[in-house]
Amino acid sequence: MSKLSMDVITDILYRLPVNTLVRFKSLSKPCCSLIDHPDFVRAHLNRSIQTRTNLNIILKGLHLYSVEFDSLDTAVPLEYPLSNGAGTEVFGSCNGLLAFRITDKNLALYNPSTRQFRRSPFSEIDPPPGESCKSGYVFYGFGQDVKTNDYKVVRMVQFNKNDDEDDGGYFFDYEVKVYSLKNDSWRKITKLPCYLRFMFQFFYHLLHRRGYGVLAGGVLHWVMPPRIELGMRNRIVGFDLGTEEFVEVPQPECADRNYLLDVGVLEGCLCAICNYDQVSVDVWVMKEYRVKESWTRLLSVQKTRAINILTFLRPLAYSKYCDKVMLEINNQKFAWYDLQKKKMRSVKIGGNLGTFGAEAYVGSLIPVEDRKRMENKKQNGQDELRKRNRKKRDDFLSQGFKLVL
Amino acid sequence: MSAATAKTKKIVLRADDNHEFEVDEAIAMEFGTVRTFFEDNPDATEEPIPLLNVSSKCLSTIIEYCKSHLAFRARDSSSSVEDEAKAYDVELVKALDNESLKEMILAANYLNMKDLLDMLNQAVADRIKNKSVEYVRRFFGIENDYSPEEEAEVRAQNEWAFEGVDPDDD
Repeated sequence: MSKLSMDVITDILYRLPVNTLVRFKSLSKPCCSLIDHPDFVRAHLNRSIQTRTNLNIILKGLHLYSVEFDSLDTAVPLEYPLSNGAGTEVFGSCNGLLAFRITDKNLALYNPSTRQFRRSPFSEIDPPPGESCKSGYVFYGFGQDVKTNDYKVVRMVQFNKNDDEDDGGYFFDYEVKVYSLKNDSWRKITKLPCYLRFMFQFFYHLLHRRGYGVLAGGVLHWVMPPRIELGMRNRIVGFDLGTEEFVEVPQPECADRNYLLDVGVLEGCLCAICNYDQVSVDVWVMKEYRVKESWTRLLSVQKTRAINILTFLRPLAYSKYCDKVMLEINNQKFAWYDLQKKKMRSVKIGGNLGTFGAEAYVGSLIPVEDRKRMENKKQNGQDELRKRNRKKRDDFLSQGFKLVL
Repeated sequence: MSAATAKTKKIVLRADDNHEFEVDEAIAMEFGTVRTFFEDNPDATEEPIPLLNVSSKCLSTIIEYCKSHLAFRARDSSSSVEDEAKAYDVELVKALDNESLKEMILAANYLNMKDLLDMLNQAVADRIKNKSVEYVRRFFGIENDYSPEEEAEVRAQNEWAFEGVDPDDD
């Protein structure tokens, strides 16, 4: 019987989907250690990204669904703890981890491919001191600080005056907090740019889930729409996950500046989505992060008879051979855009989906728990099991027998 | 490569059972170990090259593989030719049972043939992706060093990953 070397077996394992690898932890203890090892996890993830495999699309509507990008057949409900409740939001993804909003103070991280779930500690919302106001809209973002290999969540809370006036010109400082997975703790950011207070606009942000930050270049991005009455242009607002500071990001130099701006991401490159009156939409890609000259127009979509209005458009992912781009349109449809032929073709995905926001995520083995915490949990679990078994045995012995004939 | 050479040079490869195969130089150069050998010994082209760990069966299949892929590459790099090459690979692998597939991988590894090894490893991954743990242990010759309790615990932790697994047919 031929026996393959461990090198070859490892190479074969890299090519497997995550659920198979989770199952194969049962092969043997050395295989389990291999699959759990950070080097293997990292190499598997890098390979998936490079070969464009193990990609999925999550559909964020009232309920959460997921569809495999390779097959694009039927969307299946996403399995996760608490999946009996509707209204859980996914506000970001990174390296296969999804960030969940259960409530504004209750967030969690989940890896749907390994089904590891972890709540972050509760975080209070602190209104600006001395003001009578209540929390209003909340912005979120999730991403990785590459330098420290830490995953971080950003929460930005806008406040409204308590005496229920409408959006009547009171702009309070936002509360910005960052959660670090490594430290398992929240930290308040005190250095805020002055323009931040003007960020939230009711019609812009509430529609189409624009409150979720877009991750590119280690920075989370949101759009601040223009405030004509204050003479403010639209702006891409960035939060650097490494330095934990706000940064400004240049927009592309468009000939026609009469557009509604949105941001997206394609394979880690920031995209600017310029919507001209819902009639046509241009998508630009910033090939080199923060280099204004590297903004390149990738595609231009016009409304068609089938899709006769473009209220919202977002690029999701390239096809395997990079000849097409998958687009989410109007929170209801998917379409392939052929980069060569410059044409759009609708894609039908099975499942009763309603309206949704979509996001691409990769299947990975990245853990939500760090190993020490898992070892402790495991140890506690075993202690619990032993305690319970002892109690069961004691209960049984103390009951005595009752013969039934 | 000199344009003046009308005669294609032949190289003899010897399998582990001493069976000899004569191939065009271009084909022999697809074998990483052979190429390296000639780079180090440019004059040793008359002798048969011993490939100690490769059976005749594997060697003849690998030679066919190289011939076909060289022909594909010579045509052009259009996507239709790529599809044909892929279809060829699929047929080649289909004809291999698990044991032969492993032998081919060992041969490709020994001969330092990266593309072939890549293709074969992917074929194994595709073949075992939905298989049970027992099947894969047998395939790789992996010894189960879990105690029954330990194995039960690992399985219980990841119960969902055991759904939809192909029944064992071997």
